[in-house]
Amino acid sequence: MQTQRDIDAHTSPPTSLESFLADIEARAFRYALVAVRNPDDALDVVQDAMIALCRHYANRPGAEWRPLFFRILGNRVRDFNRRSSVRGRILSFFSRQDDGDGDARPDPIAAAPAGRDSDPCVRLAQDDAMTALSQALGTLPARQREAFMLRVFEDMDIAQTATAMGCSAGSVKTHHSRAVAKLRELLGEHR
Amino acid sequence: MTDTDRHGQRSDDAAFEKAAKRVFDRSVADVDAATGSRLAAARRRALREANAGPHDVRSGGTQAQRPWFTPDRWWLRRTGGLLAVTAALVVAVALWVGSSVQRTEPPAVEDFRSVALLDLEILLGEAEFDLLEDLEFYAWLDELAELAPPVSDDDGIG
Repeated sequence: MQTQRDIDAHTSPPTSLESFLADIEARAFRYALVAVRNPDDALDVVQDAMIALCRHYANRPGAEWRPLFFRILGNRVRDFNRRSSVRGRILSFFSRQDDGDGDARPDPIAAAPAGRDSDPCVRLAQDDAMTALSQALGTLPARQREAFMLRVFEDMDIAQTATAMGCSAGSVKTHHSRAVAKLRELLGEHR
Repeated sequence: MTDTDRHGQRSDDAAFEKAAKRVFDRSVADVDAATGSRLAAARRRALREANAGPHDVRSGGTQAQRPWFTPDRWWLRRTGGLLAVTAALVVAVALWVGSSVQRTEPPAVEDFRSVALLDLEILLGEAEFDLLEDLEFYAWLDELAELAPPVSDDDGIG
């Protein structure tokens, strides 16, 4: 459920870095979790992004923090995925003879922290929907996923999304529309 | 595609995005207390970093964490740099001198040659080699000579 604080965080610029980070940390965690698919890794990535924002951009106007933060977060996610990819290649090289079918990691969404909702049926439905959404987002190219999540989940306009992604407004529109088309195709039955 | 189709698709896309956002927002609200407290700890750490001052990229930490690199100790950095350069120069000169000495004076090789020649002389000198072989025999002869009574110069001859 969206709280009043979340709504305020989207509509008015934050007054302090602390309140900005407090407002955004849970969203940033979920955002990172979709991209890195492991809660501990997502926490690390979010913490790195927070530290980088505080170190380098604490003196910038509050209105700039959101796109800057998500730009840093996106870069951290890309770095993480690149490193994981290299690590995975090395590990698969050494364990090729042991296991042929590859990824034995548990489903990160299934392993994600439990929610606060006490009704198991509601929780199950929510988890199911988020799992499906997360898996569908995981099939998208990174730039399409980023554009969709920033535009839709973070309510950023095209200019803010372009700043956060470090690309042109045209690229944002292209990535976003392709992402929507692909997600609708994948998630048709979940609507 | 007609304008009506395009409009319909746009509204479908909007509905889809709204539904996706609702799912995501619910998952954000569902973040549990343990994760929430870890996020709060991460936030506090980030804010401490910001309050600690500018980040020293070369040292990988803030100035508060690494007082050796504070601006008021600039002389320490300069002295440290000079010391490092001097040490590097000393090592380089020592290596260069050492290598040139080795090139001009090969004493180790000469010593080795002289030892080898000595061994060769011993091996080729048959008499001395026999002496070495019969060393025990000569030692026994010495013992006999010590035990035997002294022989007088007057041997009765002459």
